[in-house]
Amino acid sequence: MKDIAAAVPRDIDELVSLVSGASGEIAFIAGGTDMVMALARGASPDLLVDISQLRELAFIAAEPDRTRIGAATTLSDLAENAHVMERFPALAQAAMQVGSVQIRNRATVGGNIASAMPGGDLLPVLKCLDARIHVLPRDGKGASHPFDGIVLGAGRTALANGSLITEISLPRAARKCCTSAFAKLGRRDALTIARLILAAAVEYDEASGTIGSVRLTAGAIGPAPARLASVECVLAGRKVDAHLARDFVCALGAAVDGAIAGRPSHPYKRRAVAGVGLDLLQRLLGRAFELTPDEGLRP
Amino acid sequence: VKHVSTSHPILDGYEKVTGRLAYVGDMPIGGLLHGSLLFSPVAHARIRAIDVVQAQAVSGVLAVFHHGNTPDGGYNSSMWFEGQQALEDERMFPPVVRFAGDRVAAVVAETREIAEHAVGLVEVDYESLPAILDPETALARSGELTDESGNPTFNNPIIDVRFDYGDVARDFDSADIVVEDTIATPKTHHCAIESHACVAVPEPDGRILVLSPCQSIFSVQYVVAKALKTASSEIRVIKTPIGGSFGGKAEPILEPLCAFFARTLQRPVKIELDRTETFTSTRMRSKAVGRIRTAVDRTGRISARDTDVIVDVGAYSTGGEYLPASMSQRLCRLYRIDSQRFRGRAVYTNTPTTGAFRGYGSPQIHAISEINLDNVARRLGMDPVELRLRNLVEPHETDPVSGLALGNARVRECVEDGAAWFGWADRWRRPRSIGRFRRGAGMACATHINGCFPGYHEAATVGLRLAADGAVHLTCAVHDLGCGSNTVLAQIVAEVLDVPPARIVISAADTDICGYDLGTRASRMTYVCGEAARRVAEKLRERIRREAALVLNCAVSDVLVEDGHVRSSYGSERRLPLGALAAHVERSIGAPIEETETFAAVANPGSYAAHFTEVEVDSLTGRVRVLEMLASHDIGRAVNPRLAEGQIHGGIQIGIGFALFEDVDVCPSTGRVRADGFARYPIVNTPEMPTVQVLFIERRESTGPFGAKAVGEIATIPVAPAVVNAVNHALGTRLTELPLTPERILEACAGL
Repeated sequence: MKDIAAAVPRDIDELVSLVSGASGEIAFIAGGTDMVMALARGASPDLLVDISQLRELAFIAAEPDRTRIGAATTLSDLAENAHVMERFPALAQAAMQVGSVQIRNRATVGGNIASAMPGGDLLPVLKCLDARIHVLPRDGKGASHPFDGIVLGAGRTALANGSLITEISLPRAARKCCTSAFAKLGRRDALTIARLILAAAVEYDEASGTIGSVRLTAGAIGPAPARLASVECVLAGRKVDAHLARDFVCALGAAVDGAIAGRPSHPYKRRAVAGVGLDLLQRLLGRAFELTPDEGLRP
Repeated sequence: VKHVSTSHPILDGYEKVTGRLAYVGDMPIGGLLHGSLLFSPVAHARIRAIDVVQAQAVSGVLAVFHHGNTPDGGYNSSMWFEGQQALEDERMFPPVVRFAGDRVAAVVAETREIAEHAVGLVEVDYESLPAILDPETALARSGELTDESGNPTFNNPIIDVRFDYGDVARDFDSADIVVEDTIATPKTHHCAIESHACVAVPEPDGRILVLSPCQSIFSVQYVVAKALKTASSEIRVIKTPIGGSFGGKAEPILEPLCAFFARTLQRPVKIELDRTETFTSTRMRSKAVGRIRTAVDRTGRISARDTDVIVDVGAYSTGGEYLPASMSQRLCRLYRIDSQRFRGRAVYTNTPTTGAFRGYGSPQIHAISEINLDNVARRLGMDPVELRLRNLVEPHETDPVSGLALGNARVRECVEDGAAWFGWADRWRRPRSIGRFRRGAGMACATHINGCFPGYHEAATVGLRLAADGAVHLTCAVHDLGCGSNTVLAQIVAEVLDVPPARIVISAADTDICGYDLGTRASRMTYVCGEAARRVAEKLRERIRREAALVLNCAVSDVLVEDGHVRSSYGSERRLPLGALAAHVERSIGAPIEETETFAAVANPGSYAAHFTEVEVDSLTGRVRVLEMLASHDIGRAVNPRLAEGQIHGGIQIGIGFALFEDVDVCPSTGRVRADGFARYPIVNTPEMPTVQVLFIERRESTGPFGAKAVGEIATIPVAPAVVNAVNHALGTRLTELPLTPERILEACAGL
């Protein structure tokens, strides 16, 4: 057994001087929704840094070419932010479905990334939206990294000891008609660990009913979120019609086959992804798609 | 009536929501030591050696306990009275561990952190033994239950219960239709908010005081004494406030250990399990697999039924030997069936130990019989409500096997009124949807008992004392498990004495001051203890009238007890508060106004219910949403309608979990519980709850207090079969393995 030193820096400068001088394993705690459980399970860092008082890390800032979100922003704040809801609906939808109200009031964006869980709700969305992750290493020389450069998955990140995620930035979409959506399947509606996640960002011209470019990612079918290029191809440049949903669902099933064939969860997930896919399309395009039972059950 | 049939607020509700009520884990106790347990990671093994040197060396550790230095006395944690015969197959720490989660060792230290750290340093050398993880395989290991010296052999079956009545063979031969199903129910966990905890304190006189959130202080006292090989009077048990039990705390698990550690170390000791330990090492509902055949004629009359159930009770027998009989009884109290055959076997497996859980076998056997009955209705092309109405028992019939009277059994009203309120007929006839989201309607009936009569000493002893300030002190070994039984007893006493329920002071159950009582189990609180409370209150009322007659100078028959006062029906100007009367009597004759009454139950009527539900199944993901539930209950009288309604909401919550979500998921190769915490064991939370409508059928039961019958356990019994029947109705499937996980649902859909 060892004692864990704890510190509560009041601002970034204090944090940097604290962390740069510390030795041993450093852990950060913000909302504590993951870290408290990790500590209960026996995690014992040498220094636990409480960043919940760093108000300068809790912000959502809309800039001309990007939107910056502080790492200590709570998921409740993210889910209810008008700018995020309008510009990045997938992110607001994902935040809204994490845990329960109590968890969302404490859990933070940075924590969700740093935990890097296979079912981490925000992760596929951040990857889909091409988020950059800003990291403050112990030397105090912050830099931004692509999502894949930080989140390795299955609980692992590329963050060096004592490095803190400070913010994420989302590039502004080039075209106005770009929209995004998120869909998740768990055992329950609320307070549930995701078994399947889909996120998509598309250009959609409502007038012509045509989809332009597409980015589509999936979560919980591998250690880290994955971009499903084969599914993107099915949607990109496509006119939205009755066959779209069927082709989309088929492509999703094939993508799940490719990701987890042989795993115990495979037979279920390759079927259930059809339902998640239709939920995603409905949120993305604002209209419901119906499949015949055969198409749905045996894609 | 003034105080019964009113929704009086729960007595300790304010203290609970404001955090003023201390549970045993939070009680400040000077010099408290902390115990931490080591559990077996393997399903079956002999312990070759335990190395405690490193653990013992940790600063702050007082002792390390294991099978080598603790009493080897066998006990059965379900025992509840002196001299009871039961399979005494448990020990504090066994030399052979029988399930992954069995107790191997314990460290007692100055702090919980030190104890937890040190217990991780205990090294155990296990010699692996073959494990039986499946109940059907378990049957093959048959033989005598004990050897020549009386030691348990762990052979199967623990018990083999059979009955038959009528001409079963003939009735099956002449039946128009026979429908057979094999229906399986999972092992599920109670998930009480308060995990298992206990404190034991050495008293100056050498006795051990056990503070326990339990369901029966006398059961705890007896089991602890037996485990410690000491006299029961050496153990004093006080029931602490309980953060939920549902049967999970019916059996003492930590108490024998805690008491032994405290006695050995002569310091108070606390053991408090965490959530995972509570899941893996305490108790759960037994798994049941039932093969059932039902014979009917074309009109839907059930002529015969044949039921064969195997109950997996896990590693230790506990009360498992009572389960098959308990199940069989339910099959004889709901429908009028010409002939029946039943066989129920309970078997040991090397999986977690099971025990009491709300309904005690009833949820399992009703899942088996009520799902099968819907399959019968389907074969007949008959409305399931209609099928049931043709076969239900009527009031005052007799159970053909036990000969017990069913009492004022109003199950027909439950079904008829429930179906009407729910709009059953329209929902049932609605054509099956072929879209993604498919709705279905389902229903199920249930019966349950009211106490243990005619079993072992089904009696309750209640004492009442009128204090000089007008308060009425109630003494009874009563264990409010959080559902409000104290409130209900207070309302009953208040009704008889015409005082506000808040003036009834109920002491915590304490073996030093209470008369023997079975404790909170078998849906007996309101029906048996409530009747004892009503009777002693009547007795106290008569005593009050006799004393008042002397003071008021009138005939006893002229004394009125009303509104907290006594007065003479003539000359109402002399009106004396009850407290003043008590004070006067204490001053003049020095004796308190108190009475005690032991009431032995004289009947065991059936409580009945019918639940109706509508579900929506996502045919693409296999997810089920329970949209609506109407619960119709034959309750005699709802003494406290809001608390009764609360019981039913909670029963529905557990029942939906049983139908759709919950399974501790014992790994078929290692025997380990895979769903060992809330992350992997989904329960029904508020967002999953349907709209609930409760209907009380209040036709008085003459043997119950003010006509009341039990509702606590039956509230959960019809839920699961109703939900399963609704899913099968929605999809046209014949799902028979609970819980209906999305995987099972999609598989069944694919097979259509």
